[in-house]
Amino acid sequence: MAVNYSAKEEVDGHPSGGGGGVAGGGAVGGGGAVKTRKPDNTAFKQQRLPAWQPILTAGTVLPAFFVIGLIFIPIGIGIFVTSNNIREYEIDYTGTEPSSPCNKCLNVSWDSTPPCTCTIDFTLEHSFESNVFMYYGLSNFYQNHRRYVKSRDDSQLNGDNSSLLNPSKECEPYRTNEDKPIAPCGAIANSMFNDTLELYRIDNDTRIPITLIKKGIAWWTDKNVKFRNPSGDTNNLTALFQGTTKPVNWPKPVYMLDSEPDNNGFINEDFIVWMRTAALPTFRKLYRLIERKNNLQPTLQAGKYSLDITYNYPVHSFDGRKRMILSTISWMGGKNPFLGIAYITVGSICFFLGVVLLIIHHKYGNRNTSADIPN
Amino acid sequence: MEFPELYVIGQRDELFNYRIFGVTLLHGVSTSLASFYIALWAFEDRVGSKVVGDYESFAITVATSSFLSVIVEIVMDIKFWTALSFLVVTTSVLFFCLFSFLTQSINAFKIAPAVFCFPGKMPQGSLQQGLAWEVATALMYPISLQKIRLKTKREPEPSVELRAHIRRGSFCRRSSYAFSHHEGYAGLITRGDSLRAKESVYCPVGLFLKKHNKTKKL
Repeated sequence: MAVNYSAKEEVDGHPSGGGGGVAGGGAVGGGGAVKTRKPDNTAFKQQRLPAWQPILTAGTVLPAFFVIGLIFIPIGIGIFVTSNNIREYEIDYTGTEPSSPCNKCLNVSWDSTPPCTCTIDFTLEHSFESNVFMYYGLSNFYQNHRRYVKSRDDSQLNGDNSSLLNPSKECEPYRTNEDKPIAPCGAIANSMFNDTLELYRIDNDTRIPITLIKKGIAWWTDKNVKFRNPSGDTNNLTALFQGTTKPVNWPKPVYMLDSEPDNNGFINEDFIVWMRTAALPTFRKLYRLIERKNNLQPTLQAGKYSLDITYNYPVHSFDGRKRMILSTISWMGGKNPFLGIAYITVGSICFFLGVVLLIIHHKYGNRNTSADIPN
Repeated sequence: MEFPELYVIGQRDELFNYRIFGVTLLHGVSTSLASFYIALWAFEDRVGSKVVGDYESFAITVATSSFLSVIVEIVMDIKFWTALSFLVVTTSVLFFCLFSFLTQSINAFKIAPAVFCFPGKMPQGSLQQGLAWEVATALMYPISLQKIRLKTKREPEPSVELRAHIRRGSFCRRSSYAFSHHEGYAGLITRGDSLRAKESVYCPVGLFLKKHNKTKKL
């Protein structure tokens, strides 16, 4: 790259010189001292700063293109291969087809007791190594709707006692119920996902339950900073939430979400995961973890499994769908072939453009230097 | 009207006309769409270890990628880099990082939870979002480079007939302000003409070098 360093050294300070400073010397009043409005003759004000002018020549641009191509393509291939090695299994259990086991739960009301349960059997072709993540996925559920996203009270969820009894106006119409403030208020909290999913392994007609871990699924900052229970004795959350009522569509109040005190109330991890609104109408949220037992055995062996569902969450009215997803993860997250493909595409476009420009340069690039100005 | 060539550009609307406006509009629209959709596809149904496909991460990724695309565009467009240009571009990037950090810090959240609702975002998921914006800007970069490359090939050498002829003054003088409206010495130097044939360098007003002061009286 040829660099042109031009220190512009204009010495012309005379007001009667070139185009610049003529107008500045307008006389103010007759005959007295001429007040010039010409700017000072400093480098900054006369725009004479030393400048660096990058000049793109073939010698810099072509290697740059090739280097970018050669860097991006292996990265893309690496990401793509990693993504392909991730195992994922998905079951849609909405139950809209008559043959589905969950079809009987489709039109059952959300608060029916006893709740409707259904069981879906499935088979894993390949075993899942290392930690397995269990997700629930919803479709056609717009958690990114503007009024929905605003419908929460973060200071109430942070444990502020005044907001607990006087929630913010954003939560309307889920702010109070029968003159009692709702804790937690808002549409996001009200629509919390409350299906229960249990996984069993079928081994010669015996059902072996698989341990599902419910701690550690929420972000650390959410669980420890953003969401706090109201201050007081943590063992008696019922007293702390006195004077509030449960959200309209919840079966149980917030202080009965879990028996363990560090997963109860506002800091319940399922609640926290739900309150972190998703960006797209088709999303998945972490439900449980299945930890690897030891290095020798795969976490989930290939074979027959059975999923027990307590179908509480109604999605049929808005044509939504529910699914359960089992997935392993890698260093870059979950299965995401798009990034790999994008990197490969950009890298190959760069490489191709580099080749094209090389051809152009070879054919036409030497034309300029062959002309000589005669003396 | 000592320097008529300065006004020709304005008369011909060379720097701003319907075509340029349309091209700029299209460019802006395509950059924004690419910034949004690439982030969208990277996030679609994503499975992160802590589910990074949430509203905040997506918003921050799109915003960061737009910002970085704009910075790359500006870097491509600046032809004469003074110390001020370097300073401004670096300060811009630094301020963006600083304010992102501040607005997403936990302290800001404690002060006004309704406004600063993204606490603790920065440490999480920065890898995935970095990958996403990298792809977005990387798409812009080669296209811009190619545009510049083709442009340097296609522009003809500026004709010298339009230059005003200096009638007074024995050596070439131009104020640097007017000088800065022309290209630099790129063509001259890469051609190598000025090194080979010194005597023939006369000094039309467009070219100005204190050192090569051998002028022809015009």
